[in-house]
Order: sequence, then structure tokens, then C-alpha cells
Amino acid sequence: MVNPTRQFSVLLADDDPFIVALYRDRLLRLGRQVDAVQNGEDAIRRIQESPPDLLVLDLNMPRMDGTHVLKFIREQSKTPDLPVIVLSNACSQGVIDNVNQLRPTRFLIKFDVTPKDVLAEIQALLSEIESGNAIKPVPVKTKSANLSPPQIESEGPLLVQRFEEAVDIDTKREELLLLYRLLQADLRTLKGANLLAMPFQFGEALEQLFESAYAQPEALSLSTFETFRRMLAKLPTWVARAPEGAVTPEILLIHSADDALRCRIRELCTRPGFLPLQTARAASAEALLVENNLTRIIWHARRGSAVRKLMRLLKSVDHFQRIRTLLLVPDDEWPACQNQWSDNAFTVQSLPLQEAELLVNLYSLMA
Amino acid sequence: MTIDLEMLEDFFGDDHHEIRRVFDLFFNSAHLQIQRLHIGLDREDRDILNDAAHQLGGAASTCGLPALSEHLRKLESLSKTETMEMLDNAVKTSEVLVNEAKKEARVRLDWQSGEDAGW
Repeated sequence: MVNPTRQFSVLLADDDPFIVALYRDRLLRLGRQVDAVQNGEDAIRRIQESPPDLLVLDLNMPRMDGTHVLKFIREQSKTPDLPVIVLSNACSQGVIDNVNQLRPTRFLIKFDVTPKDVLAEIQALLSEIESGNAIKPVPVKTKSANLSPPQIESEGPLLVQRFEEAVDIDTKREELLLLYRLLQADLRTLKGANLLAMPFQFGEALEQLFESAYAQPEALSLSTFETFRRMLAKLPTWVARAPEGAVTPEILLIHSADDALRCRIRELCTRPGFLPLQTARAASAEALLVENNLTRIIWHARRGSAVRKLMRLLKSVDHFQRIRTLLLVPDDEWPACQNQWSDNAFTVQSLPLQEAELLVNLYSLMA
Repeated sequence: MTIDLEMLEDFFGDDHHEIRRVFDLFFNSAHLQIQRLHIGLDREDRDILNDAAHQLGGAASTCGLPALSEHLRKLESLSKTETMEMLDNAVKTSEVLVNEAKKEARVRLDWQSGEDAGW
């Protein structure tokens, strides 16, 4: 039987005074009785003296960590079912497994939730407690990739970050690499546009996935690509974060439907200050060109009609005069499209490629 | 934009006095954690580096500073493996980001409240 006059209490156990102050003040304003401790030992002492109705528990605390506090609580005859919200920074899968075995009522990762979410959970649980309802534990929901500690393995020529904490995605190598690059991006000087362009390197399937994700980010909120979406959502922030004086690489767009040719050219485009991006799809190349004001393009056209289409596209953009293009066309197609060119910003190389000539043209393009 | 003010307003309403007070707490806490990061570098103590980055990263996330939070998550993850030189750079970047957040908070909150933020 619940006493209607009783005030239900919350104990906050977190060693960060900022976190404690944030939630304590808010809960006090909501008329809750709140107490706070800053280490595990004090939490245990306080719980033994007078068990709260709800404990909000950080894991990483001095003198005794939150996992041990929770274990102690579950082993005590007075408090085996004490409702506990574990509120922690991202932690390893091993820690999550250990904590889950101790039946936390809720397990919230600070990185994944807003203060409003946390407050709502606290309020909801207190309401349940007040009404005397049984509270069903909800296992941890980890939406974000956890990089602690990183295990970087070499897989062919690529570096693949295998997250210690399971990220619920189909771990195609390209996807992992993409996530890895996106997560790495905060120490780089890439513009958001560069990052947005990155997926276009990894083939059509990922390209399409990226396009759909970017077009309808909300549709993926509960999907396996939550992490991916979160990273994309942060791109504008990253843009603002480039250090002062940082040089932003210029995108060098390589378009060819021929995978081998595209990759070979990309390998040759190693000049500092340029970010070579490749795409097999003309639509993607067009989008990149228009949205990012790209000025350096290597375009492989199999037929004269494709050259004409490219010309129309280039002339339609505002910065047409600044664009420098290296056009790769088959020998036998060139006569059919030669009269399409009216600007000297184009360099044409016939196929099959002569390596030396290609290098000269590439370096000229990147000069 | 470094600060997700919208997220904070979602929590506090449009009470910018309260938000400023929270930032005051956060920046005091950040100052201490940055000091700990430097202690970790001086002593080449990766545990201190890892812990300070972990603490500050969580607080930054809660305080609506996603850029700083992301950076510190990365620093935390790399603290056990990367060279001290690289970690030194990452700590410096953390300081820069904290200072940027301070500047932005001062401007945005002062501008909206007309009061002195105090930091």
C-alpha cells in the first residue's frame, strides 16, 4: 500500500558535480526529494542508512565503481529490487554485459540521450513507484558506436575499426571503413561536403544506402544505421570545428563506371591538398559537382553521347569557368564528340591509357 | 555552431539564467578535467587521460556540446594506444574546443539575456 503523503526520494550517485547539479536542481524544482553522493562508497553508506526509492547511478566513480555498487544492492536483503537507472558514458561491451546481469531498471548512455530524456525516465519511474506498479527492467539500448579501446586490424589494404562494443550493423568492410572515417573526421580538416562525398568511394550499394539515408534520416532512427545517421547529423558541427589555419583539401572527382580504371586513377592522385573521390554513377558525380562547387574533375566517358551530356551539365553550373576537366574517352569515340568542346579548360586523354601521359595530365589537373 | 542550445532549451525552457548557471558548472568541471588531462600527459599516465576524457566527454554530451563530446570520446578511445605526442595534440584540441564553447556560450547567452555570463 502506497502512503499518499510520502515523498519519494532519488539518490544521485555521480562524481561529476556538473551532472549532479543538473539533475538535482531540476528534480528539486519538480518537488522531488533528492540526495547526491560523488563516489561508490558514499552511495553504499547512504543506501544502507536509508534506501532511496530510486537510484541514478554512474558507473565510473572513485573509491567504488557503479558496477560494484549495483552488485552490492542486488545482494542485500533490503534492496534486491531497488530501482536503479544506470547513467553512464559509453562503455565497453564487457561492462555492459556485467551491468546487465545485475538487472539495472534502465541503462542509459549519456552520449545517446539528452538531459530531457533522462529526466523523463526518472519521472516515469517515480510515477510507477508511486503508483505501486511493478517495474520491468529495460536492457541497455546502445545506439552509438563505442571506440573504447580501439582494435584496428588490417584487412587487405584497408584499415578496419572493429568496435569492441557491438554496433548492430551488417559489418561490411566498406561500411566499417566509412564509419571509421566519419568517426575519425574530427581531427581532420575536411569540410562537411568532403565527408558527405566520402561514401561515394565505396561502390554503388553503399552509395545508394547513403543517398537514402541522407534523404530520409528519420526513417533510419531505429535501424541498424543509427550510428551512421548520428555521424551524418553531426557533420555541420565538424565543419565548424576545423582548426584555424587548416587547409581544406580540394575534392578531385573521379567518375568512371569502370571500377578498375577508376581505382587505378585514384591511386595515382596522391598529391597533398587533394581529396580524390570516386564514383561510378553519373548522377552522384553530378550531385557532388553541383553541391560542392567542385572544380577538378576526371571524367571517363564511354561514348560521345556521354561527353555531350557532361558538357551540358558543366555549362549549367555557375562556376563553369573555373572547372578544369580531364576527360578520358575511347579513341574511336573521340571524333564523334570532338566538336562538343569549346573551352580550353579541358584536357582530353584517349583510352587505352598511357601511364606517363596520364600522370602528366593528372599533375597538370592538380597543379 | 558548437552549442546545441536547442537541446538545453528543451530541458530548461527559455530560462537562460538557468542555462548560464549550468554552463558555469560545466566549465568549472571542464577546467578541472582539462587539468587532469595535462597531468596525465605530464606523467604519461594513460589511465588519468582515459578517465578525464571519459568524464568530460559525458558532461559535454549532457551540456549540449556534441563536437567536444565527440572529440573526447575519440581521445578516450585512443588514450590507451596512441603516442603521447598525438595525445598531446588531442588534449590541446580539447582545450581549444572548450574555449570555443565558452566564447560561443558567452555570446549567445549574453546576447539573449543581456546579463554577464560570468566566465
